[in-house]
Amino acid sequence: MDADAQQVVDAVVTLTDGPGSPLIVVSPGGVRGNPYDPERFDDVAMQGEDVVLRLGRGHVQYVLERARLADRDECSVTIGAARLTRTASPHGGGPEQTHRWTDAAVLLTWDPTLAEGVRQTQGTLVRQDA
Amino acid sequence: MRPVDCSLWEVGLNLLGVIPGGRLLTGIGRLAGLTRIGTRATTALSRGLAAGRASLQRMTAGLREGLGAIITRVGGRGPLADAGSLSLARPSASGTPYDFAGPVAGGGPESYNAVVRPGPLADPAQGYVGRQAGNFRNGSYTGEVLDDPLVVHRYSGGQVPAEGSYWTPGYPGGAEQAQFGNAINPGWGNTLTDVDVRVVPPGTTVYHGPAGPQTVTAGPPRPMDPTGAAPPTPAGGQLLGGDEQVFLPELPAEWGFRGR
Repeated sequence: MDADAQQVVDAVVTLTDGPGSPLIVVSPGGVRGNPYDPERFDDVAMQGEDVVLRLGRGHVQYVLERARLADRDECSVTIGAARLTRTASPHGGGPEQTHRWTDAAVLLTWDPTLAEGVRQTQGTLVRQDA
Repeated sequence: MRPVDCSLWEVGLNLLGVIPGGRLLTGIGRLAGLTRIGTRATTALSRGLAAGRASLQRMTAGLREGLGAIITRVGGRGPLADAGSLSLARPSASGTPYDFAGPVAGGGPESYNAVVRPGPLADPAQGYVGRQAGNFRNGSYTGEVLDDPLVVHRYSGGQVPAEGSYWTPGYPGGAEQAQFGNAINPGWGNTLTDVDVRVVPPGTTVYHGPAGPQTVTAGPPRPMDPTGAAPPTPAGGQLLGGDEQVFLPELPAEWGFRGR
């Protein structure tokens, strides 16, 4: 399990140009924000058995439980997760929003064309606090 | 006088649909005979045509090469709705490599367009930066290394941060002007409640041009959709854009943002 998570972390680090680089996340909730001008990547790390991905100076956080690398190429990484939680706090203030999906996938890319083509990944919404 | 073959004119005009299937000019000799233009005048006209011939050849070649990409773009993904389809990964059919070179310091503004000179914003090798040309109307934009400071502003809020690559020159003219003029799709979740005004320092590479249109979406996919497969739905045509926008491949370090 840890090996799978570590593989995910390594793939994400390889995809990005480090903190501050544009990174589009396509989740079961779609693309958040403007795919041509996306949130900037903060970091990705393992927390226990989970993989935690942060963007936008901590405004957006994805927690992937039992994450596994599903696919990767030079411009994208696809990750499967038994449970996916997205927590986002609006820029400029406002209540935090949380979405949780099961049997989910996320696609990470810097290519807005790819993100617009995919638009949404699989996942079953089980919780929404907005 | 040696007759000048004007078939390239006909090819160019036919491509543009000006004289479909027609034959407007067949040679400078016939033109001279019909109009009885003096020898010196026809020579001058001939030289003019010859001078224009080289550029027309380039234009025609570019049209041929670019036409495939345009047709794919319009037929496949909707008109002018995406950026990356302008990225021309294949080699030029004429054997001449596409010109992806960026502007240089002291070189002044350089114009780029989707057909004959895609430029760095359509360079497949440039990753994120190379997917941005389609965000400009008709893929046309200008690149330059600034000689003077440039005041820009950016509306943000909600799902859109202040830290970003797209800015608008000058001082803010109001959120509605930004929404319509810069084609800020409501589906992106920009509340337009915050505005940053910054100065781009001299020496910074910028790309600017009219904002391309955006198809208005209703917002992110409906999260409560039990199938989980509902994509964003068109919600009322397009925002036409057209106002000047500035793309910054690298944000100035003094702005306090990170990287690009």
